[in-house]
Amino acid sequence: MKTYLLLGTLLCSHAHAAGEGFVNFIRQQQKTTGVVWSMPVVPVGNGPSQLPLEQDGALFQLWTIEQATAKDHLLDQKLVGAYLPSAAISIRTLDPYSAVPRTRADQPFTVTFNVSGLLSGAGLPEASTRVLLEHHIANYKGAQKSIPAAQALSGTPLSSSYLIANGTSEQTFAVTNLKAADATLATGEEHFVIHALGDDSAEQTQLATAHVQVWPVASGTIQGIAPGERVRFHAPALTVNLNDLYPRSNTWIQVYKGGPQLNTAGTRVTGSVLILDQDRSDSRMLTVSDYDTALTDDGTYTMELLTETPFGIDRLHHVTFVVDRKLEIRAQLGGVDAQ
Amino acid sequence: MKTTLFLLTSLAGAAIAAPAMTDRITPEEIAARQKSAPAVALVQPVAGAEAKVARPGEQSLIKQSDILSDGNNWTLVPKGAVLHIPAALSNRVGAKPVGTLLSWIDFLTVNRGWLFTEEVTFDQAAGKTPIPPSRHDFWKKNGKVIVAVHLGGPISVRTEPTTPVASIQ
Repeated sequence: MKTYLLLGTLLCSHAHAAGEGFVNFIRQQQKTTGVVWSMPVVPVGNGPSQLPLEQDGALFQLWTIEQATAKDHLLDQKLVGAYLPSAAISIRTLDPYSAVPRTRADQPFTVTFNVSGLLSGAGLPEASTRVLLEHHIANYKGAQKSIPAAQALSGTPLSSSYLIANGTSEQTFAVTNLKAADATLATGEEHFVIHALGDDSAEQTQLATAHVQVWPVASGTIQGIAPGERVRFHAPALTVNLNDLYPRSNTWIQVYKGGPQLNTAGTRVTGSVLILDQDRSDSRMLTVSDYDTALTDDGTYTMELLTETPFGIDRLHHVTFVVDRKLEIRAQLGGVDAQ
Repeated sequence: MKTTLFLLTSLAGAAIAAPAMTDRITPEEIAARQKSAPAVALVQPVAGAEAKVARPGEQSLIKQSDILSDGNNWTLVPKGAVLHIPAALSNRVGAKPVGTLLSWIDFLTVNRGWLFTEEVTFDQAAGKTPIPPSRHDFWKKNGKVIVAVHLGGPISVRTEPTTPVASIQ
């Protein structure tokens, strides 16, 4: 009997993560005989395993090695066997980024579990009637942008529960479950893993795993102009501090006449637009000057710092000031009487 | 089912709707969102009855492999896949990973001059069926590094039998 395991899911979910500069390897370890086979790999696609399915099953591992550092990363692994339940996990977020599921600390995400091969009835061993779902969380430290799976899954899980029925089930989380002193700044990964219930001799019981990256909510300030300040001639130069911008985001400053009002379309300030499309959040500092053309008339203006992400537009900061360019000439007319 | 449909609709709707502008969320608002929509409860394990699961520890593909190198490029194969190394080519196996990493197929293509593949059956890889002695003789005469493959992919070959050989008393 051959394991016609569709490895497409494995490959498709991670091939982009292991893109240019990486080389992928799939290893199949036969648990009974210990034979290890390196499967020929294409970047995206499906392929059946050609080795016989042994009683103890086979462990499939997807690895990638970074060219520049020769460092290996275990991207995913799955235990498959004739007498084991099978499972799959997928994670859906509001960010369409395809390389890895990613979201923001304040945004919802949904985890879908699919289990098959469970048996029901009296007198059956527990391992054939249920699988264990574990939820692990791991915060990024410093500039980290990924956590090795072995490390993320090594600690005590945030929660454990049993899946006792075949079919699909879902869990939706309104926001991240990562812990942080300031919940808006939580960043890291949430890992979900389904284990077969093994015996004492099992070295691996992981049937399926998936994880989602969580990035913090951006923040920012406009410095150089104070609330209520009167701008007389040239508008002052601005320093814009941007923290934790979402990996895929457009950020800019806009100005409009009047007091602050959300969802008001204003004039984009030249030199203030920052576009990010990368694999991690980022912090920047911008200097903006020569924006007098956006302040056409005298009056009250509001300047807003906005960032657009897959989740909407966030106003990070705003300041209202007054433009007053009227020239007042104070003069006095007088006469000199001739003697 | 209704919950699922509602969720899908709401997620899709949020994704395609014109982005609304809001002020940056506060930590308190995040806490309120979490409280208002707790995750669906699943069947919890009985307290104290810890499930027997085995979590993968630190693993390294490179440590589990033999490295082949031509000086400019390198690749890796499962330990036990290299069946024969002529003395003159011993520096090509077990080298440090230096240069450009290639997939097995790409590495083989550019190094046909000193690499040769031996297609083995699964039973041969598992040590259940011995590789014929004639093949061993061929490898020695061939003068190349011999790598065991199964359907084109390098495979480890057990040299000892998988089950104890019965002895006659």
